[in-house]
Amino acid sequence: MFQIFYKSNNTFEGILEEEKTILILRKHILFLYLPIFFFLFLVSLLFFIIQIFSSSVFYLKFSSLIWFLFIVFCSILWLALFINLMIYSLNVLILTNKRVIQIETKGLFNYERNDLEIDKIQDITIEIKGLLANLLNFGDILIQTAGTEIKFKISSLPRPLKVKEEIFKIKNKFNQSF
Amino acid sequence: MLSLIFSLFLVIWLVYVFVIFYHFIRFGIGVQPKILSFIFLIGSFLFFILMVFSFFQVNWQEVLKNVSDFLQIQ
Repeated sequence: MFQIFYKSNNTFEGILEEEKTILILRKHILFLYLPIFFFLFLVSLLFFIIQIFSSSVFYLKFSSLIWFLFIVFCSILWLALFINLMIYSLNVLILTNKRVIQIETKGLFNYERNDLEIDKIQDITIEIKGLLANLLNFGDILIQTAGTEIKFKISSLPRPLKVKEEIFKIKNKFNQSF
Repeated sequence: MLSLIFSLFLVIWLVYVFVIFYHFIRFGIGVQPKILSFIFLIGSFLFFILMVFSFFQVNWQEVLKNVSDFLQIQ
């Protein structure tokens, strides 16, 4: 039962026959921790403010009401935090032995899915902009298909160079199989 | 009346909890969404209990009396 927390076949809706998931990529882990830190900061700040006014007459009279409102505020923040984490977690780039699939979740019941057959990939461009991106090694990947139109743009992926190499490795393997 | 408003708030809150949990389970791929959904569910359960418990700790009659007194002064 607890296997789902450490092992997964990485299957997804619309997986083809004999299609195997090779890699699942999400944005850099920084984008997972940022909302968590923001949540902790807001809760601690509010807690700190309540503690400052803990000796006031107003607090002594309405302490239970203040703590009730604090808990309600925290529970609303809890939902907001997990909506952010959900968006982070459900925005994925899936590399299979046949396709590259980009699932972009924008909010509740609002998502976009793009599929690209691996043999249609012409070129992959990497963009690493800014000091933080250079330090933490994350950047955007632009996958180009036949023609000039850029089909995919996946932003803030960790180790973009390695991802590019991986995609080309899968593409070469796919071409060799024919 | 206050209990009714609070119950309505709780229902809306629980609907949001369900929708977020549903998204994690229905659309999540791999291990990470499952771990996040588990943490979310445990936390939501604790917050639910805390909210209900703290609601009944408040002396609402006194709060309402103070609010009406304050408004009369104004």
